[in-house]
Amino acid sequence: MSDVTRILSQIEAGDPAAAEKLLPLVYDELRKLAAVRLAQEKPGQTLQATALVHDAYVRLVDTDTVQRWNSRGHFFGAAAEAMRRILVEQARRKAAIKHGGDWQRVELSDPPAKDQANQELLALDAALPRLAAEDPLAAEILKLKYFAGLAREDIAAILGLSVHEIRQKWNYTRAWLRLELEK
Amino acid sequence: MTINPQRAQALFLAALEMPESQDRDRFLDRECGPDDVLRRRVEALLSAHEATGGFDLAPSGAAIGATVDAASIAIAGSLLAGRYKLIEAIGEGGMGSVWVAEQKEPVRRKVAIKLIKAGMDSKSVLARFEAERQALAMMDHPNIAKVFDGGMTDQGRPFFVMEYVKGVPLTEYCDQARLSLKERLNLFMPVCQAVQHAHQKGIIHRDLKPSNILVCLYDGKPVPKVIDFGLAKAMHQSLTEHSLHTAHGMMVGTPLYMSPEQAEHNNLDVDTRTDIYSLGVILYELLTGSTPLERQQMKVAAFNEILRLIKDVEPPKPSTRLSSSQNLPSIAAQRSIEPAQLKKSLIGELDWIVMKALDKERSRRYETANGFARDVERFLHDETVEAGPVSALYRMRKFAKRYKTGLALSFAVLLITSSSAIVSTYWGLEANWRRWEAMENLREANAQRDFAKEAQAETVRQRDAARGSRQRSRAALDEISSEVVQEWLTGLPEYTQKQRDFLKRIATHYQQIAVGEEVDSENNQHFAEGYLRVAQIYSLLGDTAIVQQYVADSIKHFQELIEREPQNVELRMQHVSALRLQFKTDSKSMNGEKSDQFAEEALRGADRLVADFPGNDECRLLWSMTTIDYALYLAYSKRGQQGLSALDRVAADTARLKDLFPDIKRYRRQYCVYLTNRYVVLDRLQRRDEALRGRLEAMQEADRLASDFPEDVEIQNSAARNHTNYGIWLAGSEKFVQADMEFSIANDLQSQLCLRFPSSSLYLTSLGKTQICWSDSKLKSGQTDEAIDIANRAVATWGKLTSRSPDLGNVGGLASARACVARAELQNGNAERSVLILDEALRENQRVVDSDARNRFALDDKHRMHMSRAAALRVLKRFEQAAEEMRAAIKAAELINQRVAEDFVLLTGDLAMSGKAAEVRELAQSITTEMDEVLSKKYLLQLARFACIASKYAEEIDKRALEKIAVDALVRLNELKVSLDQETFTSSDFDPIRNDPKIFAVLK
Repeated sequence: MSDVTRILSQIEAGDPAAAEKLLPLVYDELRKLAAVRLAQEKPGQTLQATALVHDAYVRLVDTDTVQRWNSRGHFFGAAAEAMRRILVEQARRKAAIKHGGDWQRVELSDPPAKDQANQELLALDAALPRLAAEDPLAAEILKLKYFAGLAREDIAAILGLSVHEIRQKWNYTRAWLRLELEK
Repeated sequence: MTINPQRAQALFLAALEMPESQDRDRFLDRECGPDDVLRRRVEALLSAHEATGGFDLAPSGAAIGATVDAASIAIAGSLLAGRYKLIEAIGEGGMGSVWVAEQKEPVRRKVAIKLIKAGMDSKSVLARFEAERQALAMMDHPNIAKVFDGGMTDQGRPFFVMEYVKGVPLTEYCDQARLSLKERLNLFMPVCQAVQHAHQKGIIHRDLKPSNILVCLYDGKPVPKVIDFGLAKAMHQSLTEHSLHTAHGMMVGTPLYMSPEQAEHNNLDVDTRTDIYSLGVILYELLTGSTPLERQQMKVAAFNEILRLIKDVEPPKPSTRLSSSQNLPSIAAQRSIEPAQLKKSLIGELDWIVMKALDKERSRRYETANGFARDVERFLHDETVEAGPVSALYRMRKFAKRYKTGLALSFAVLLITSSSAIVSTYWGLEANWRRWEAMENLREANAQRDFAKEAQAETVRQRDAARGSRQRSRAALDEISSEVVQEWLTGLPEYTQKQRDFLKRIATHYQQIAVGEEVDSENNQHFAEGYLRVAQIYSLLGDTAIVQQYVADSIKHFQELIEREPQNVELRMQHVSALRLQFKTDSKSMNGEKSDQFAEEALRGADRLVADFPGNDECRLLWSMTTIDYALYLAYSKRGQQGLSALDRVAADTARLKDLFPDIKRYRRQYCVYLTNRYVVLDRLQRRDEALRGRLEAMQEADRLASDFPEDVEIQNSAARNHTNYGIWLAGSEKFVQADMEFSIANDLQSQLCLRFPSSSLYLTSLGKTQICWSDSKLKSGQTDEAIDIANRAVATWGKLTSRSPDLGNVGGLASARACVARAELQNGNAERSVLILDEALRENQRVVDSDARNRFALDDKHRMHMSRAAALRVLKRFEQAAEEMRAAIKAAELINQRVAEDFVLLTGDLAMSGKAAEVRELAQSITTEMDEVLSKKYLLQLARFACIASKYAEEIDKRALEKIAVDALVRLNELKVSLDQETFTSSDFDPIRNDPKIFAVLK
């Protein structure tokens, strides 16, 4: 049984302390997975973060043992947060490379769009705490959607809300975000 | 001025609901008033919403770019293993990047190098590669790219060196070159032959897909070359896992070509026919431009769903796919043919060939790749092909078969539904089931959504199908639903998820068929019958709302039909069945208001049926069934006398049918049902003696039935169950000798069933329950040694069940069985052992409680286990611990809203014996005030005694209070007309109050 599966089982069994152990573990696993996946991509090719989260789920969670939506929610919550950190970390490093700050500079034929995506990511991440302060639920949904790539139905199930409620919240979050990023 | 974001959000969402801009303006005018800042904010949000166009933000497109791991990415110019100089990256396969490289020695040539992703266990990859290297070297075929070498980079990444093929993926080439169907088939055949060659050398490709079949031009002629042979095996990652990753990442799409057996979890049983399947997918794509499971589907489905799609969903035939394709014109253009012409050329043989290769059951595919190629060749030469059409009947049978296996494996159900005060039995299965169901609901919702999609596709297919084939499907569906549903499922008290899914599918198929039919009188009958079936299925599933909806529709249709054809006995019987279902459903539901009306309607319908067809035994059977249901309904709505007379009306007929046709199972069973219901009705009328006689008669009949139909396991099982139930009843009435006999009969029957059906858990579960009840009965009658023996057998039975499937029902059963052993051991004087066993039982019980904190059966068990443990500790004079156990017992009982006076009195005793006088006083006071009503005589005496004991240890104030409690209890006991004999009172425990004037008066 993987460590993640064990922790999720503990959460299912009602051990509240187990939830805290999840994030570092998932973070670590996602980083490893990202590195492995990346190695198989040719330069210029990118790896979708959300796909990675799902990969991690398949690899790390034994769905026969872990059955409850609640614990799936814990997993994806932790994964979204972990992925956010990884992406932000990477985007920052990348910005540093652009500025010549990294000696390990290599010639890469990155399409300019990706650069933009990085900036968008950093901006979004900067906006996230502001959104959380105003509306924690909206921020959670944003994370699950953007970083864990979950569908509305899944988010609804995880947060125990109706799809309609998620859709409304998402409408708002999207509009809010747009205003925020345009600032 | 600051904005309240919640308010802005609420206004924004409300305004979004208003499509008209004037409405929005008016609304905002009203709501914002003079608050311009708020107004501007809401408007900004609204226009931002519009600007997003309602489209979702793409999930993090900000991908993990190449920079993260730049150091580990191969760089042009670097040298691998000292021999291969990387020149240029030319693409990526599923497993890593592909490079053109220059080999320096021993020969100088261009090679392709596949550089496997880092992080894999390179050593074992290479070891597996080495193992297959011999075989790979043996391959020599013009359509196979050779694999030369394998090795490891300095960073420890495995790489493979292959013949460099400068080509384009097969499908891409065909579309670019606008190859005709014939040209495509001609190009496909050598691919089959190449695969055949590899198979003959013992190599399975396992990852065939267009990007692994490259077409290059030699002398202007296209030649396909299969690459990557042997690599999938070397990588040894389950293709499932690997392919899904890529599927979710960039839609590389390997799962699209994956065979059903590869999609099986952890399936190692993959043979050459898996390649045949993949070739079938490739041919499908060459013909239609899409894979059987479309890329789009893959993108939206969850992993497990993808696997399920591959395993379970029958793809549409190529020609059907084309008809539903929106891109037909461009697909046809790529094949240099007219759209209509293209479709026409696929219908028939090409459809058959492709579908044969794609059969989910591999034994029905082409046996060899050459066989596949030959059939394609036959088609090109206008000869008769080996493949033929797949009949609807076959498809349905296959479907049923797949599920039957599931059904057989998942028999794990509870049997005994009565309970008894004396036995602690684990009845938690049922409750667990409900919980699991709830848990499954979400997953089920997904499955249903998917199923709806599937059903939609099915509709399209159905519409195309000829009417005849529709009737055949209906016939097959009827066959399945009668056989599988009625024979296999109706007898089971509960269903597993798989069984539920299966039933839903059947229902949906009926719904689908009904949708496709046109309205005329014959089809009207199909509607009516189809609706009735759907209602019956949902009745099994317990969804009363849906049942009522469909049954009402079906009744309406039947009535119309009967008006036209009053003498059609089939229609009439179905009509009565529908009425009966309507009545039964309503009477079982909580808020059935029309039960009386429905009951009367059903009964009238049944009466008319026998009046019109007096000689038809099937009608008489239906009449009997309806009447018995009616009688039971009356008995439960306090009209038992009427119920009994209703039963009398069918008594003779039911017995007659049974006597006339002793070998027709359903007549015999119906007679049993009659006898059983009769004694239940008598019991409700408080006519106990008659009820008991009836019960015995019913049991005898059930036994006869069981011996006459030894093959019918449901009959066997229910006969055994009767004995257990009767045993419980007898033990409850303290008739232990008889109870013992019944339990032993049940035990024997169930043991035999277990021997006959060793893989079924159903009988083992029944056996385990019988043993638990039996042991408790033995214990109660004082046969301690035997109780221990039987309890140990129960532990063995539940242990076996748990090891087969560690589900919570089984774990709970095991805990119950252990508790049985512990109680018997305690009675046998082995208190120490009893405590240890209970420790284990409580741990197991806790697992159940942890996962389901409201499982009342588990909590009830927990309560009893703590009580037993306290009793054992008391024997060991460990009173403080015993008090702790009693507290735990009380807590468990409170969780199921039970407060048992006995528990509190026992706790008082344990506290008294531990010398905790103050606590005793507090507790005793609260017991006497709160539980006055329920304190029975026995407990009052005990309470008095414990108060006296405690008072010996008490401080002055408590002492007096405790003495008062004791005196009051005894006085009250006296008021209850229980004479306190001197003997009871001689115990020195009562010394502190012996001289109390009130007691003095009482004793006198």
